[in-house]
Amino acid sequence: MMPDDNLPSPAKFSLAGSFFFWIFWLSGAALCLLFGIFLFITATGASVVAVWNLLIVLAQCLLLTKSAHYFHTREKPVSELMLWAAFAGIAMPLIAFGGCAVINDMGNGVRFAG
Amino acid sequence: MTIHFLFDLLAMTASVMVSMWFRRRYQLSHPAGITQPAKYHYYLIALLLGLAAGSTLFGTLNLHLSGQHGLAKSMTGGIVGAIFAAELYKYFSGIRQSTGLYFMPGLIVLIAVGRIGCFYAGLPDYTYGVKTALPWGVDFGDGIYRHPVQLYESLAMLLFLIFFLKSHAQNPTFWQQRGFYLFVLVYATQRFCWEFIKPYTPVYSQLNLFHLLSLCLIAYALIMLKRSPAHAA
Repeated sequence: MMPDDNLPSPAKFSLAGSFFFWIFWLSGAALCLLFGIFLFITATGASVVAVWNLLIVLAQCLLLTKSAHYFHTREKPVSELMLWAAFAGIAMPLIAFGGCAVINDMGNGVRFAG
Repeated sequence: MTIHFLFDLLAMTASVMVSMWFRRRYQLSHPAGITQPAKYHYYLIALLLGLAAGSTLFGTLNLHLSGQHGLAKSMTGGIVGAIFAAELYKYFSGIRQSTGLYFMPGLIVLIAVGRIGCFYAGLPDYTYGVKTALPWGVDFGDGIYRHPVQLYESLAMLLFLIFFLKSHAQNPTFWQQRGFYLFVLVYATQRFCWEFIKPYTPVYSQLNLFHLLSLCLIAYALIMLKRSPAHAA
């Protein structure tokens, strides 16, 4: 008997579950990068906006890192990891672009998170 | 606009705190009828997708219909999208009862506080009212006194929250079965009224996009309220 036989086998994730997890995860990573650029641009001028962008980037990094880690170790169900990634990729950008008018005028470019 | 996202942050914090308090007090660990963790996760993902799609689609559409370029979010659009996604998910996963009460107190607080942010954001937020001679008209910086329609909505939601919290303790079953639909009815009705004093471009007769969305929500709420006694069995 091998020593590992007594350990619970890691959960198997479905192909669809894994696919959607990575779709959400990659969209979250892309938006994290976008807010990283916003942070870089706003770091010198508007301090409140820079702090906001920093918080968004940190929160997204935390969610994305932890969800990727748990996906790798299979410690949490794929449905929960999909929810984490969806939160990072959908909910957080929705929250992060403060206000009702996200971009006032295309000519002025993106209004950096408020 | 910095003030708006500070209020967004405040609104979300208040919303989460009220939700946690309500769920703890009435021991709601999941939305009614959703007991399996995976179903709960997929339900939340459906809600998120619907909320983001509806909010951005209808917010931006209204902006463009009013002749302004850009990208916008809309609370009514978000509610329409989230309800559509939730009902679709519930239909395909066999959930036949109201699940909205779980989110309702948090959502009310989110709107009530978030709208104060819209008010302080002023003209760039494009959520102000039309010109008024009433004594409480507000000058948002262009010299025109306008209806503070954001505060009307905030106040309406606050009054509904007080009514809900007082009434829920006496009749929790009613609120569990029909509470969310009643909230949708009240939210859509007050929003329908306020839209008459907003500067948005009409798309049909005197009705703008949010009038039409509000009418959809009112129809949804009335249908579900009519059907809800059958769910109680």
